[in-house]
Amino acid sequence: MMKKRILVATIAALAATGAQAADMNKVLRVAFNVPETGFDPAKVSDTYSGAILENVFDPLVTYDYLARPAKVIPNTTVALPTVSADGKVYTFKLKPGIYFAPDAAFKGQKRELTAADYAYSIKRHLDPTINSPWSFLVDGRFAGVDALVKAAGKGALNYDTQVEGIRVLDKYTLQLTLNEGNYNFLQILAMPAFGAVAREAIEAYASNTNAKPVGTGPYTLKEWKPGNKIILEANPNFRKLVINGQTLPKVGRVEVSIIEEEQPLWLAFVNQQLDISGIPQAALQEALVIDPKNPLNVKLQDKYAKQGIQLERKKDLEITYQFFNMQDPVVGGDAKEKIALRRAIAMAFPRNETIAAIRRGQAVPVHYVIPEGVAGHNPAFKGAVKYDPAAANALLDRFGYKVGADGLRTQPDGKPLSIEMATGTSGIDKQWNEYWQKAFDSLKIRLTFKYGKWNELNKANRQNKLQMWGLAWGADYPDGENFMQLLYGKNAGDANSANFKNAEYDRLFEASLQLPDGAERNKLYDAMNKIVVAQQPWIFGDTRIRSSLAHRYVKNFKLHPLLNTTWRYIDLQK
Amino acid sequence: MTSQTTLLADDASCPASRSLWQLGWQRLRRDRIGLTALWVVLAFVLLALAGWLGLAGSHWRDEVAKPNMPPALFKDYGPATVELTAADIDAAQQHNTSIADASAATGMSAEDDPLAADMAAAQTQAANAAPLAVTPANDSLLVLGSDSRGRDVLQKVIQGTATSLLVGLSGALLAILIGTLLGALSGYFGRRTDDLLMWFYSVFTSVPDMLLLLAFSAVMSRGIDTVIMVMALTSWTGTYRLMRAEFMKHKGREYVQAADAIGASHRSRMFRHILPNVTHLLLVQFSLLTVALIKYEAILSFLGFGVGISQTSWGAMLAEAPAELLQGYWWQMAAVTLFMSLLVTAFSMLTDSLRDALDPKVK
Repeated sequence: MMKKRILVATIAALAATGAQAADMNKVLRVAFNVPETGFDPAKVSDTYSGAILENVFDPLVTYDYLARPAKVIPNTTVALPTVSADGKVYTFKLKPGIYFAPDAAFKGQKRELTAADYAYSIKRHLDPTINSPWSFLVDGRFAGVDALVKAAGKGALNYDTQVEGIRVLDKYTLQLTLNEGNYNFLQILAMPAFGAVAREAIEAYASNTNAKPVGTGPYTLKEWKPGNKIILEANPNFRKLVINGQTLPKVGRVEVSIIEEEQPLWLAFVNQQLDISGIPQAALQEALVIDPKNPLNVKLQDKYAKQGIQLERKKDLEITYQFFNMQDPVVGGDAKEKIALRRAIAMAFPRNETIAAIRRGQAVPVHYVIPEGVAGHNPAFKGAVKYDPAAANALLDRFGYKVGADGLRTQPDGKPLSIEMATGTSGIDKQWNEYWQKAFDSLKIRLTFKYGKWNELNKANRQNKLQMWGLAWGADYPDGENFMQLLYGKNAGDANSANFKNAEYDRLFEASLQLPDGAERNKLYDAMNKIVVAQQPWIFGDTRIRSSLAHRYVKNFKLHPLLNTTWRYIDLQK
Repeated sequence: MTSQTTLLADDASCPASRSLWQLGWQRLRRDRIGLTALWVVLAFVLLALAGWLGLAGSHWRDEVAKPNMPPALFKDYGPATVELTAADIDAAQQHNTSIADASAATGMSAEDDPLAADMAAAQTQAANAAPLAVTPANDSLLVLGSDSRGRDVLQKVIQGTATSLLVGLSGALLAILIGTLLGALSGYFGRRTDDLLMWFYSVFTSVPDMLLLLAFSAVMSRGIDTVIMVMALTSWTGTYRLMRAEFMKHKGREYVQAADAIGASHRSRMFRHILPNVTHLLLVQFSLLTVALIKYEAILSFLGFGVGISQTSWGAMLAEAPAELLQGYWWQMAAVTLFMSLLVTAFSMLTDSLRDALDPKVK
């Protein structure tokens, strides 16, 4: 027995070539609770697809896995870029000898990664025919590119035109020139959306680029059953990457199942059909001992601790909020009685009750547009209104929202008052809706629900058709700008889902862009937050603290605040 | 019945003639299982009536107990989890706040907020007014326990019975109406009318039932009325085929020809002459449909397409079950399962007995 195993090991060692370190016999099994949408970096923006992109494509720079707070380090470049004195010109030197994963599109040739690939990948986000969800990050940022986009009109971008902003100096040198300095530029480039694609591959699979990702990252897409299963295999051409003496990636195969319902997801983890998993909300109390005095103080239940299950926790860099459509004739507008209506609704919502009952204490209330852990956060600012339904009713009375004969309030002009909230159809949505219903009942305001799938509601909102909806925003990069832009007037109908347009806010936001992180910028952020609190386009929600579990045999298990996945670092020793 | 006997007493040689319905009732009364099932169904209808009239289950939305309390009989068999409350979260925040910003509490000053004066006035007004009557969550035991919001599961299940039966009965009635009307037209007139209606029928049956249900409920808004409409619109097809065949068969019979001879109109022949002769089939069809629709409603609500937040039904309650079971709260599902299986079984048995009783060929 023993002998045989040694023999197999020797053969395996002989068969392994090049920098390939991954053990193809090791299979990491994980699950997503939301279906992915596709794997073209310029076409998708959801976290789940992003998690796959992160492993298939290589951005220029990335984050150090171990350093906290998150630190940008070179990825495919020799070093961090040299930046000109005015902060506008970034020059990247690529490492030679990085190859794309073998693919039919390369006709049997080994295809090296070059600066032109990055230029092409960045330009794709500007292509009108692609309609990238990330265009807000690149639109108007690069020198001379606007003319190129304009020339394209509604057609495809001419990728061969040389532009000043995105220049390939030689095979390994890329120079990016910005119109204005941007303190977050490297963090933006570290996002999976800015990984390098090969033009041949994109053109070869033009009809369905979402299904054929070809990159230089540690894994390649082996099999994809949309909404069901994603299988990744180690990229045989992956460059030699050594961290702390360990060559990456360790695991040869990653199997991602899509399990939308909480109960089967949890059972799959408990039965070791999954190696790593988050804890679904319904299972939180089953899995954790939560201290009622301080709900964030948790430990694993004994039965799981005994099995050697590892618990990792992180406070997400996110905020949740319920927004009002500020252009809506009923709930929008900046007249005093409109503000009073929004304020009253915010005051009637029992936020702490939902944190206790739905989040099981695994969340903290939001008081500032920028969450903790993101540059610009102010822990002393208390922006959320106090839960006080009695005062909320008194406020509505003061502004002429009279209670009619049917026991419901009317608008000050006597018209009937009815508010529609958009919502999904899952069990969790229903729990939230019960609290909203209760809040509106206590105000004697009629509430109806508009049910729909997330993408449908998102479309309706872009067309300005919703009145209220709840959203979450997670940091793309850990800077306050990424959050404050959620209410910037020019982003209305896009990232600014509340359609909030306030001249003073916009002026302050534009001023804040010119400043680095620091006391001066924080002062502007405080002033902007005060406008948000006063105008109440949002009802602040909470920031979740996520618990992830891994079985005993999973090694190197550590969550990163910004990277979606850490699969390449993980080892399995069963 | 006695008056009839006296009426016919003149002709002693002829035994009292009984209608199909009377014969059916007689046969049903002899069927012990059928009769029991009938009583169970009647009891449920009474319960549902009480629910509709607000005599029972009308306070199902009140939070009367602690969340997730096990039923009284099984009070020691619930999971030993501690439920967090809003007060815990408040306290934890107070604690964290005092650590975080002992130095400088930045908040809004009066000039930042256009509503500052009104807010202050509203708060004083609210503070001066009598505090809202807050019923404290009590420890009293409930027969069927409480759900995640501390609502009485018994009240919920009664209200659920009312909704489910309302949906089942009125959905079935509406489906029968549509099916009978179209079936009658199709079978009686034949030719072009039949072709057209058959084509219409084929379109409906070519789409899988569940898909059709979901499609209809996706376009229409929420509420019991929508669910009923959706059910009726998707389940009339069976009745239509049956009625079409019956009308085809009957329209050539002598009694219909006789009616034609004395100048009865089409409408009169269809609904005064033929229809009464096929209603016993409709009764069976009706109870079959009711059972099916009660189950469909449960599926729809389970998938999140059923009744809204301010209403409850068995399906809506079952939709809460997976998350509850994961935490060991089994009683809501047990209660619904018990009620639902009892009614559905009783209804199915009653249907069986009705078919036996009303089929003239079975003696």
